[in-house]
Amino acid sequence: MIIKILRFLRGYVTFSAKGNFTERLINIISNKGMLYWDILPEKGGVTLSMPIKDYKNLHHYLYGKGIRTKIKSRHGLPFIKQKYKNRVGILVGGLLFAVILILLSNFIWIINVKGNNEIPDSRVIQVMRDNGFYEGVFSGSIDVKSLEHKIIGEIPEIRWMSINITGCKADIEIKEGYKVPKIVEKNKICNVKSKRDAVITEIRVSGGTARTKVGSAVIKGQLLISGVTVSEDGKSRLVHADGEVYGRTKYEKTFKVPKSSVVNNPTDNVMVRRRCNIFWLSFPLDFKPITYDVYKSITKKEALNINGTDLPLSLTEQYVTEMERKESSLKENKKALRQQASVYEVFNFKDKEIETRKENFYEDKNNYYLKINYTVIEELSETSEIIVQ
Amino acid sequence: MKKSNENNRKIPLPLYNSLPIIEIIGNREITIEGSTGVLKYESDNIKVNTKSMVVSIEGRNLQLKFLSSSSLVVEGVILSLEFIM
Repeated sequence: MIIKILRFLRGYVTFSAKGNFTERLINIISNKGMLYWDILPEKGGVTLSMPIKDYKNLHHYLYGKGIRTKIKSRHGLPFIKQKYKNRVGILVGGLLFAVILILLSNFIWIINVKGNNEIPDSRVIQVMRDNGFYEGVFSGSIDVKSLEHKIIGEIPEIRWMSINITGCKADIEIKEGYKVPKIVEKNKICNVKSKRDAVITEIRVSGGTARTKVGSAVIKGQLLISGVTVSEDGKSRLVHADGEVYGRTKYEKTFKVPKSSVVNNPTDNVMVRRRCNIFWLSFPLDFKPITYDVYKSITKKEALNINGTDLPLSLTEQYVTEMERKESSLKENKKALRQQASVYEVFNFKDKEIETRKENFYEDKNNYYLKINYTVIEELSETSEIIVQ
Repeated sequence: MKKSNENNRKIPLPLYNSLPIIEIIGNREITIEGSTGVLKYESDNIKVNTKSMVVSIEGRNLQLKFLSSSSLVVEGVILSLEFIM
């Protein structure tokens, strides 16, 4: 292999020699110590390969011997150089390519987050970005250990993490921590009371004595499970009352929107603007200005993906939809009120089950109203410590 | 053993120096040390000149594997070897 490389660097020719007594050629090159290889007999002569320098000298020795040589093929770097002598651009381009390749290989272009189930990738990447680690950062400027400590400090859910940098790729391996269960202080003497007015639907007692039963109505603060238990011999004992008590409760909520409210409705006019992102550079592929006064914009980014790895080459598409401003109709107002109600339910009835909801629309001079009466099944228990002096 | 040594002595010592040393591996490769040039080079016949004789190699697909000013190696299918004095 090394010999082949050396031959390539020096350059060589494969030629045929024909004429009278071509064996003399073999004797000349062996006696003069010339380099040659692949010497093969052929009809009326021989073919062989030799370096350019020796081939040039050979003509001097063959003079007057009646042997003619003909080059069959030329190989090696000197011939390539000769071919591209007048095309400096290729050399410059090649050098530029090498320089850019070396330069860009010192940056981080791909960040992969692995091992996370609960913590979203975006959160980890955002925190890392805030700490100076992002796609396009110079890899020599990163203090991996210090960065790992910072990230663990800022995301307490992470139990362990490791940043492995391989060339231009950074693999972030994460081990998430375990959720600490709620510690029940069994030694603390307490009662369980109701936190709302309700009708009891289910009682599960795991400590203490139930003081109510299914179907009973209770008011806020009423004792549900007592921490005082009486044994068979009549002696009373203070314990940690514990259990789950479910009840049917009622909520009422009124939402309102002004009658003169303005809504934005999307029209059929949609404009797509594209941008190309290469590394940290982003440039537009079209120069369409946004001509709409009121618009809604949705941006989608798609990176070039090879074998599951996103490359630092992506296309961003911005969908701009023209919006039409107009006075809201009754239908739209009802929709807006229902949307308010949905948001309210998501945040306020997270751990509760809505049994029934009764809607009532009404209006006055200025506003539309939506009054909803909810019947909800919820957990009522609330511990109340018994202080014994 | 003694008889063999006596036979060797029958060849005069200076003659040894002019004789080529020929080594054959099966019928595939032949090494000739003491060659002074190639007289014929064809794929079925190679004639090699030495100081005291011409060695003629006949065969198929014969070719020079190595060649220097005083030795050479021929490879191919060697069918016969002839010494022309």
